[in-house]
Amino acid sequence: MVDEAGLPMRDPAAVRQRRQAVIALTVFCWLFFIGAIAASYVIALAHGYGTGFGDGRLLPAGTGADKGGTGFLGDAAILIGTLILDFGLLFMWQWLIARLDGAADDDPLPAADGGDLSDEASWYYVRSPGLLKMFVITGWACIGGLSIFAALILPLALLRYGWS
Amino acid sequence: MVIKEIATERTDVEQSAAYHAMHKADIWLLVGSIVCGTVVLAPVGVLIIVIGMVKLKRAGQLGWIRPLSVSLLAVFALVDGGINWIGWSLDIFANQTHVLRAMGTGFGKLVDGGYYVGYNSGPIGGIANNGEKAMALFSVLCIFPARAAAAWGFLKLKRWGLRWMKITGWAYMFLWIGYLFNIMADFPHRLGASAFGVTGWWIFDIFYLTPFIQLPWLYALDARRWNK
Repeated sequence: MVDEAGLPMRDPAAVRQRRQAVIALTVFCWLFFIGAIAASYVIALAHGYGTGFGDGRLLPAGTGADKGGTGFLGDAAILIGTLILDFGLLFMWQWLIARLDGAADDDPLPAADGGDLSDEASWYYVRSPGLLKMFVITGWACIGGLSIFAALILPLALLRYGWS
Repeated sequence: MVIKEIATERTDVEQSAAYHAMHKADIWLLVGSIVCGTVVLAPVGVLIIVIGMVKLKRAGQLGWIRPLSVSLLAVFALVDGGINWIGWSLDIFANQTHVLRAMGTGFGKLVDGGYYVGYNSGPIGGIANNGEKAMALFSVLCIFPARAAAAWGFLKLKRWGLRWMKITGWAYMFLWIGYLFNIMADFPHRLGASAFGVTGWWIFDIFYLTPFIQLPWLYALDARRWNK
C-alpha cells in the first residue's frame, strides 16, 4: 500500500518512536566520540604530556627491536596462509548467517508493499534528509580516511625507522 | 489520502538490464573493498571503488537500483571491516614475517606504543598487551568476517544482510567502548609511548572507530526493502 507520493504506508506512531530512537542513538555516537577524545587529553595531561602531538616518549622496544623474518619463502607462506584463513572465516560466517536468518516458514520475508523503489525516500522508514546527508558525508570521509591512513602506515614506518 | 497499489515483482527486476549492470558494479565494489583491506594497497582499492560507484550510477540510468546512499554505506562497512579484519589478522597470524615486524613496530613507534614495546613476546605474538590481543582475536575471528559477509548480503538486499549488519553494528559499538577503556588505562605504554602522541593516535584511528555511527542509519532504513 502506498500513499499519494508513491511512498509505502507506515504507522505514524511507529515512525515517531523509531525517529526518536535513531536520533538518540546518533547523538550518543557523537557524544561518545567527544567524550572519549576529551578523556584521552585529560589522561594525557594527568600523565604529564603536553598538547598531545609530537610529545610522546619512546620506550625501550625490547623484543620489538627485532625485525627479522623467516626468509622470503617462509614469509610468503605465512602471509598467504593468513589470507586463506581470513577468507575461510569469511565464508564460514556467510554460510552460517545466510542459513540462520534466511527465509523460513516461521520467519517469512517482508511482503512487497508496492513502494516506488526508484524513489530513495521509499527505502527509509525514518526520512530525514539532514540525517542522511550526515551519514553519507561520514561514509565518504571514512572510506577516504581509512584508505589513506592505512596505506600511509608502511611507507611512513619505512621512511622513519627503515626496513631492517 | 488516496491509496494506490503498485505491483512490483522482484523477480522481474532481477532479470532487468539495470540489475545485471548493478551486479557487475557490486563486484567492483567488493574487489575494491578487499584490496583496501590489504592496508598497503588501500589507495588502489579506493580507485576500484570509485570505478564501481561510477558503474553503479550508470546502472541507475537503465532502471531502478539501490539508492547510492545504501551502496556507499555498505561499501563503507566492507572497507572498514576489511582493513580491521585483514589488518589485525596479519598482526595475529603473520607477526613473524619481516614486513609485519617493520610495519607493525613502525606503526607502534609512530602511533601506538603497544605495537613495538615487547612486540612478539606474548604467547600468540604480535602486540604483547593482553587486552588488545583479546579484542583483536574477538574481532578477527568473529565480528569483522561476519560484518564483511553481512555487508555483501546487505548490498544484495538479503534480509540476513540487514539483520547481521545490525548485529555486528552493535558488536562493533561494544568493542570500541571496551577498546577505548583498555587503551586509555595503559596510556603511558600506548598513546604516550608514540612519536605522534594522543592527537596523532586520534587522527590515525578515528576512522576505524567511526563506523559504528552506521548503527542509527541502519535503523532508519525500511527493512521491507531487504526481502530476498
